[in-house]
Amino acid sequence: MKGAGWAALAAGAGLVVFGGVVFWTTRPADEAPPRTRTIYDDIDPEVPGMKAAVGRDDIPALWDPQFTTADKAFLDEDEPVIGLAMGKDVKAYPLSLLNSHEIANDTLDGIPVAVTW
Amino acid sequence: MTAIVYRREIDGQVLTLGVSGNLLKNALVMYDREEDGLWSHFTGEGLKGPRKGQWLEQLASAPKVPWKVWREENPTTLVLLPDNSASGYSDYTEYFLNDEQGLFPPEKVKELADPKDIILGLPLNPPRAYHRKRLEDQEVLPFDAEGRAAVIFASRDEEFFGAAILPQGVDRLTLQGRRLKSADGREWSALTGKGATGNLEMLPVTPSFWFAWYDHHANTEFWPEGGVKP
Repeated sequence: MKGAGWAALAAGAGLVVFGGVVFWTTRPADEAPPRTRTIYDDIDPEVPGMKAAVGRDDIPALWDPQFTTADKAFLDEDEPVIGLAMGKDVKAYPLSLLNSHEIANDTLDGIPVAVTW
Repeated sequence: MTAIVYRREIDGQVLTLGVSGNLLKNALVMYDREEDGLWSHFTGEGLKGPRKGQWLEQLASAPKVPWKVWREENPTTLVLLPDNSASGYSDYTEYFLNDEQGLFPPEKVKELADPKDIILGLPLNPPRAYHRKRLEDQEVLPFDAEGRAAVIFASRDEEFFGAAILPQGVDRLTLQGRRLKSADGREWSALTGKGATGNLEMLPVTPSFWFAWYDHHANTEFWPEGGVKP
């Protein structure tokens, strides 16, 4: 599991894994030597401790999530969902989809919400 | 790794949140499209931009349950559909299991519990962490939610958990199946707080690895007080 997670992340982002530390290289100018950083580098002095893992929107949040009714949902009985009930609005977010999107921007009971995972 | 629901509106400004690709203390950092601010997924704190230092309001927790359970309790539920136009890293969350903090946690963390034990965190002042497995033995525990009497609960038989303010005139609740019950015969759904005689006020609960909660809430209280023996 552990190794698979790294491999999937590395493959998806074009990163290379050496002994558990992630490196990537960039060539900002024609002749400039490759610049190597580790994932443990801080990337923004205003936010100490923040590291870059992948690029913005590489993991695509849901901006306009679409829904169906329970009788039309093809989910396994045991498939985990995040359930949310606000006012008369009741929705289920399958974990498999939240894994892929991390954030669903939605509105329930007139309140703008972000379901984050 | 942790399901948290935020109100994505501050001072009347609605925000659309995306994935920045950055991590802070092993937690996702979100950005907003309207003002280009950065936000902690774990705490809702504004990290950068015009809302730096402000906080997104965390809404009552959304339980993680098997589809069968949620549908039985909420037959009218809608279900999120796949978005075929986008693809994501299905194993991305595995990343959060591979952090250095988990391998070398502070001593205090190790004294209280295994760093990778699951706790149920209450983002109150001061923050509180309840050892999930131990809480399942008790099922329901009273606590003081910043001056209001409340209970936190975790099911022994199913995966759900939650916290709720005690209604007027009720001094304790018991958990029976998926129902919270009071001595005077009223009952509420433990998953949503809904009841025939009015709804329970549910409180946000953040399920998390113990070390990750401590990363973000170093002043946390821990239950049981002396920690858990491995």
